[in-house]
Amino acid sequence: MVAILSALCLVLLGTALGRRLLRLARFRIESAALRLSFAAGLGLGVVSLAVMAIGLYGRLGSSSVHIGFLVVAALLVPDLIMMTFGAVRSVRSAWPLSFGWFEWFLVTAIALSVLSGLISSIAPPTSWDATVTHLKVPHEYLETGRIVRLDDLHSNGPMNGVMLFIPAMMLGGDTAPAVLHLSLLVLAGVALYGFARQHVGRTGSLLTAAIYFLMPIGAILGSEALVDFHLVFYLLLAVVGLVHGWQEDRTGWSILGAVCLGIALGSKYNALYALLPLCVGLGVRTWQGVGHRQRLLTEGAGVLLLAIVIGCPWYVRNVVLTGNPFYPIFARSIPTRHLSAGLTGESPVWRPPRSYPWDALNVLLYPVNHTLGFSWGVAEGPRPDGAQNSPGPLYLALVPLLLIMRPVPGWALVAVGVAALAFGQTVSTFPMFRHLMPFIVPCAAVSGRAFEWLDGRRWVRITARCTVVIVLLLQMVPFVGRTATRSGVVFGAESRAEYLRRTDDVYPMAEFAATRLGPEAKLFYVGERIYHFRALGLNATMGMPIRQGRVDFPAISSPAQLHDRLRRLGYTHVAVNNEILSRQFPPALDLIGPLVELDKLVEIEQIKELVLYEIAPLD
Amino acid sequence: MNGSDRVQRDVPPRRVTAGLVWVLAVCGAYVVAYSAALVGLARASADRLPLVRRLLELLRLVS
Repeated sequence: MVAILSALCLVLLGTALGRRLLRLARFRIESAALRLSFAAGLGLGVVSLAVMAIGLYGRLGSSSVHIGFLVVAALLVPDLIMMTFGAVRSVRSAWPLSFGWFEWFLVTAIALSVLSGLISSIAPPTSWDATVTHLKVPHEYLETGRIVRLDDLHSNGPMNGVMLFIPAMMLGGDTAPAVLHLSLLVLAGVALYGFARQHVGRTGSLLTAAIYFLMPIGAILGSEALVDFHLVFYLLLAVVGLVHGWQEDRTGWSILGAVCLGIALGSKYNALYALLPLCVGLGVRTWQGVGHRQRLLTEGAGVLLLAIVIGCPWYVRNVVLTGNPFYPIFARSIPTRHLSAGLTGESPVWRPPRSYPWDALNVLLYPVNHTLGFSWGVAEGPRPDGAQNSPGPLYLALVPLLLIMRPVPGWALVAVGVAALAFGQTVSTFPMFRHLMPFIVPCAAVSGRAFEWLDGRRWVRITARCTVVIVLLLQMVPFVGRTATRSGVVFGAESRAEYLRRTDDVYPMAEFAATRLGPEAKLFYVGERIYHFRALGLNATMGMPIRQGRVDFPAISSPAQLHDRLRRLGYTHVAVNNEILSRQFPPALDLIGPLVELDKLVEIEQIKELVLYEIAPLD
Repeated sequence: MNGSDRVQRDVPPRRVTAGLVWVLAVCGAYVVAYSAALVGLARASADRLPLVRRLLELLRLVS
């Protein structure tokens, strides 16, 4: 409950702040849904940038900063009250709702998906990304009271989303970030509905929202402490702002879109894919706008510059730390000083083997695979997680109808163009769907429009609606499954420790090590999901994680050298997941195995796949 | 201005039929593939999740 309240407080105060800023700029947004989502986006963006500034200044734990935040929150209370009255007025003016059975089904399905996400998000964190970086980074920043250099590959990207997790964790513990992430999923859904409602009827807009809220991947990612829906939210706002700016010729919209794009650029590297659609869109507009070319170019360059200025602090920080603004990517092309335990500067970047021209088949395979949930590419076989990482079939079933629809609306072409250009940049690597999700989500509005186009004659309407109902019911299965597996711990039938012991691969070993090892122990975890070790109070380092192993392990030529380095760095114990290492990075085992045989690493305990060793002193 | 009034109502029937066939084909393929994948996932996670195990046993009893 504390987690829900703290995330809610943060979102409401962020929205109130955004509302105040929009009023100060005298910028009026007609649509209530877009007004709410832009206010929330702007306010939360300002909060994340403020937390970053305070963190860089080293005052995260300062009581004067906390008092300052409380004063700002108190000043925003009148906005909060006005906002609540406004929301009640909007609902009352829309009441009574004259919905048919199909609309009621869509609304119920959306409400159930959000409720399911809320229940799932309060469960203790177990997801890979959350325990590797999104909870570990704020935990370490809060421990030190400042944004510090973290010597692992995962903790140095753009982190506006993670900045919001810092106040969330301070107020509501380590489940609050997941609730906050879910709130951003919901806000993105509100923005998508508002965007669709401006171009599509009510049924089509509700279907747009349902396609988005019921994506099977939303069930998996939405209730975790991640930043995927943070990116979805801000890129969606950027698309909406820029489309409005270009359609209505209002500079305010373009500025708002640029600000949101900037916050997205500072949240995750994937947002960089948005720069190509922006430049192409700018080029097309300039080419079309005879007589206004200079103004369009100036405005477009302004949008680009503003977005880059807002998004750049994390990239500047990477330049200062490593010389490479996009660390750890592009390490081959840009001279990079690697942040790693070995600090070697060696970076043999591993890349999956490619076999052109066959990889070009991914253009066809990708949408089919991810729609049907196989996650099967040219370079890799079927993956069991493919089914859960699916966007659902209604994008591919409805968006291509654009080819036979007349007239084709301009905004739909923009939405499809953004998706196609982002897809074109990544298709050769056959990325996970979540990497492209932010660019494909606006296409849900195109699906809503295509459905309305189809929804004319009675027999077609009945067939199409029944098909949609069957598909959406099937898409609810992962939501139900996830809620069922987590409801025990959420409703108190199971304790946090019991739940984590049952479901998490790392927690049992972390719990054992925390009780067994003394306060002087320094643990070296050859794995990535380090959060539970640190949350339980161990002095643990993700010094040579599996992926980072590709950077670090080649720098160590013999088992003796590894033993020497571990001891000189002050480590007393090592925890290793031998099974994962044998699958993902066998060279690490070639170094660790001989040390075990020579009794330089003495096994203490094996729990699940993890083995805890004590490091023998140097001879 | 809401978009419902912009939707063209005099759509050629052949186009609508073609569109509907496409929608049915994609959704049908999804229902089959996704159901199979979900059953596979449930089987794979049955040892970890007691609820899933019970459900699978129930399905076995029913069939």
